[in-house]
Amino acid sequence: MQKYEKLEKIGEGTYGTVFKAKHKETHEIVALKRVRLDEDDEGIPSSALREICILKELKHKNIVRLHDVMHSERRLTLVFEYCDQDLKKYFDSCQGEVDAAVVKLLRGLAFCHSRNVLHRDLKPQNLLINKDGELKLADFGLARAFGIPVRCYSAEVVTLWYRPPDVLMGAKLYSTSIDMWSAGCIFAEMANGGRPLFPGNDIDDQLRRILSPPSEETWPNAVKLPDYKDFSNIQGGAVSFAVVVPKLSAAGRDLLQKLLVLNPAHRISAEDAMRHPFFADLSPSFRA
Amino acid sequence: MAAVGRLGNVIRQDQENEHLLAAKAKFAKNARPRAALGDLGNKPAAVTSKTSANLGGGAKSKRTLHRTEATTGLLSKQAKEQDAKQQKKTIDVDVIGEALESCCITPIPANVEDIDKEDISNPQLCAEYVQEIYQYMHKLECEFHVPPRYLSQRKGVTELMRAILVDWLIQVHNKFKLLQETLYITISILDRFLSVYDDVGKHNLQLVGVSAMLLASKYEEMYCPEIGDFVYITDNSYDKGEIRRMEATIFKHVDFSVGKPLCLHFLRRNSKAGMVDPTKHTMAKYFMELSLVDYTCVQFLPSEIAAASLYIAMKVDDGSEWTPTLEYYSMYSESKLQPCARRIAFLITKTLSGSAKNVAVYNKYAAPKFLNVSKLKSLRSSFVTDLAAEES
Repeated sequence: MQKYEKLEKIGEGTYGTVFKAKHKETHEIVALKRVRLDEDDEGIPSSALREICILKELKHKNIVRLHDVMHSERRLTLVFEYCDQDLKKYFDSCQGEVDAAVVKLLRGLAFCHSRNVLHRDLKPQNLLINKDGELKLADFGLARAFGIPVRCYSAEVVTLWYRPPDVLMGAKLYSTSIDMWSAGCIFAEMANGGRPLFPGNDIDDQLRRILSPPSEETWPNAVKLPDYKDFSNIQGGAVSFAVVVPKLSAAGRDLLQKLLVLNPAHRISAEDAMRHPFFADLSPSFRA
Repeated sequence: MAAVGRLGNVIRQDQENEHLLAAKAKFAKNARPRAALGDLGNKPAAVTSKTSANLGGGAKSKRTLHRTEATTGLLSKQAKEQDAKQQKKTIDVDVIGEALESCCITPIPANVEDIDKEDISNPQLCAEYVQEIYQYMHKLECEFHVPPRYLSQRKGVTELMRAILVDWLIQVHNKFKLLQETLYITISILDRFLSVYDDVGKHNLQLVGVSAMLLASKYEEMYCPEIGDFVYITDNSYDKGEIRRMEATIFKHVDFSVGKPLCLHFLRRNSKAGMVDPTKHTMAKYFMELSLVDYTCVQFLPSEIAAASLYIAMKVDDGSEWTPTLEYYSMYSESKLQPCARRIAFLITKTLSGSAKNVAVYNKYAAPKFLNVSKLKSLRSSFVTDLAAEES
């Protein structure tokens, strides 16, 4: 640990404490995530192991860079590039352009998906912004690599507010669409200046808040899900996106609607979403 | 040979203590037929004596002819990769990421079927990303590839010790009911670790094996076995602390990368491209597992083993052709996969002749669950024996 001088504690990740630190020689500022390997547990936590393995492979400007991993008798230390703030703080201070931020999120996500990785915990707190305003996907503690065909994985993934309806109903067979729903929720949250789209209290409340109830026509397989819930008698029903995200343009609403499709099979992919007309005003370098 | 001997003891112990095993809720359902384990119980002793004979170099010289032939192609490939790597260093990594991202996938040739065109509506098949993902996997498998003759640098571990360990790990994997991926990851970690780490010998080879499986399970499984389960399966040869420390040592020495493309991934793609039935697919899986035990097969890439395995399965089952579609998606032409196919045919024949010492894979695939493929008469066909004859 002598290489770095600890400056301050930044927070707690899925499995370890994160510190801001400075390299003693180069003075580079980094974020150190420390994982304790205590004597009476199960060794390296699988979330740490997966995050390290996955981030060693994902080198992209919209994914937080894992510079190094240090191993000592008692702990593993992950050395990350340092980012000033997370998206939560970023749009609280209202600096950002929504379309530029969303396209960066989609670009990072498309990269993950094309490298057979699912993030499975996208939320504003896990999107970091560095001093140049570049957005980065971070905290891959719940991420995993997938094979094709995708097989069943844990249904206990994604923070409640950003969890797609299929997973809320216990779906274990999900794919890249799981992250696209979260991206949609984050997009709406940005458009509303940081107000979460579906801030549910529990799974039932979460499902009730999700716009229109799943119908047989649009999502025939929903009834087969382990925890399928029939919401056809819930009041409210479909709410117009013009009401939900009043500040968003028609093109923006169209994209949001394509991300927040209940049936995972019809949810738009990151690759396609990046080509949506909503981003037409951005310079081509943004969309590449 | 203590570690190897211990392996034998453990296997015998399992057989005697099945009631103890049943008491462990986790493995209650997994008690395997006695015959399979019993067969193996006595083997390690016999193998042990052969190992010392092998040290004299007797058996080794035979195989070298083919190996050199097969590896020259590989070497030039490696040289090319190294060139590519050197070039890469001069360019900013970000730029590469973007370049890769924007590079279009080459259009499918006219005589090749588009096997993904019907899959757009099925999210499980990721039709949108599948071509890109497989291209990436191929690139990655080349980066992760271990040197073909890496054990020649090791004093403490021989080819036979590796075979015995892998054979035992296949049984442990079966007993723990782990996912298929986990087995392949375990062996890939094992080879990558042994190729860079010198301090392994008979006293800790089994420790390396279970610790590699622990890492693989943590990476792949939804429910990972506990360290205590691994202590138990080694008959308390190692304690939890030793396994934890070895886990961390291995993780560090494989450069903190555990996931890598597996032949299983490539086989699934190939089986789809060939629209093969479950028998051919299962046969190919049998051949791929035979290759895990065989140290000589370390020289082949996972994609190569997957292609050669399915190729043999198709030939022996009903003489199916290796079509342009299969060539395109597997990335191997019929002629390009011959060296690997010869080796696999040799392993099939050797197993059937009864001269193979490690038969966990044979026994596993003799079960109805695996369609009894290891016992199929067609494996004795002249196609296999002729190919095998070229190898031996």
